Amino acid sequence: MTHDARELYERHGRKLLAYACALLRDPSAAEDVLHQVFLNVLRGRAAIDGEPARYLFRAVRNTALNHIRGQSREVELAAAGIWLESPDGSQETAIALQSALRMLPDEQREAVVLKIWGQLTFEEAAAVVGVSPNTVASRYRYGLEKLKEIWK
Amino acid sequence: MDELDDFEARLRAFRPRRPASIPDARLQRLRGPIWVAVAAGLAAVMFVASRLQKPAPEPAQPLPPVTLGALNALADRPDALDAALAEISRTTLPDITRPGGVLERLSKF
Repeated sequence: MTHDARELYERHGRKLLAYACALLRDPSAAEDVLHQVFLNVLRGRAAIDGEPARYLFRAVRNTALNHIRGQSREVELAAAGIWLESPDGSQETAIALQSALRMLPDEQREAVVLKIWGQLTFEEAAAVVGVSPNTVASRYRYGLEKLKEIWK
Repeated sequence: MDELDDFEARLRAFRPRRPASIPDARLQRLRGPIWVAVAAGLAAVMFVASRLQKPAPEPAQPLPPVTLGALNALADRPDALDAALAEISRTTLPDITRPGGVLERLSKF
């Protein structure tokens, strides 16, 4: 890996994996998508213009959506993979949160993950998703409330 | 609102796990064409270099021994004798007509 790609992978890898997991609900497929995005960066195919994080989140989104479209059948994706680490190290807690996240509508889950674990502002998240910041903020608030209900 | 802020903070305490490194096999596929290009480049350089090298001079053929008997045998065939003497002189005598040769030097006196 070139220095730049390695640095980007180190800096944004966790956030991007979380986002890919939110979109795909399958950590293994999410990791594959993430690798694909970075292989494109390494090949020099990535037209990173401006802030790399914005490009990377969008690239992960597009690649993940292509992956979903490529699925030949509706698959209830595996819940086995753990992509969140609980502060107390408990796998059960992490799995419970992941399960709760899976129960959110896709758009709300996407907004929550971009804001909480992607550490993006509403403006940045809106640019990634391609909607207005108000829409992302609204999805985020609804998602957070619903998640709080589900995951007690 | 405070409740949601607390909940948000609780969520932030979770950390996404670190993704695995990109598998070597996938990186290798990426490197493949580069190495092929390098190998092809080296092969091309070696080919051109080998073509530019002057061919090694061929070793001089050992002359057949010239014997009086052999010349006598050709005496009754003047054409064959002339050809044999011309061949012997071509290979044994210095070329005085070559540039920088004896004739050229003498012509300067």
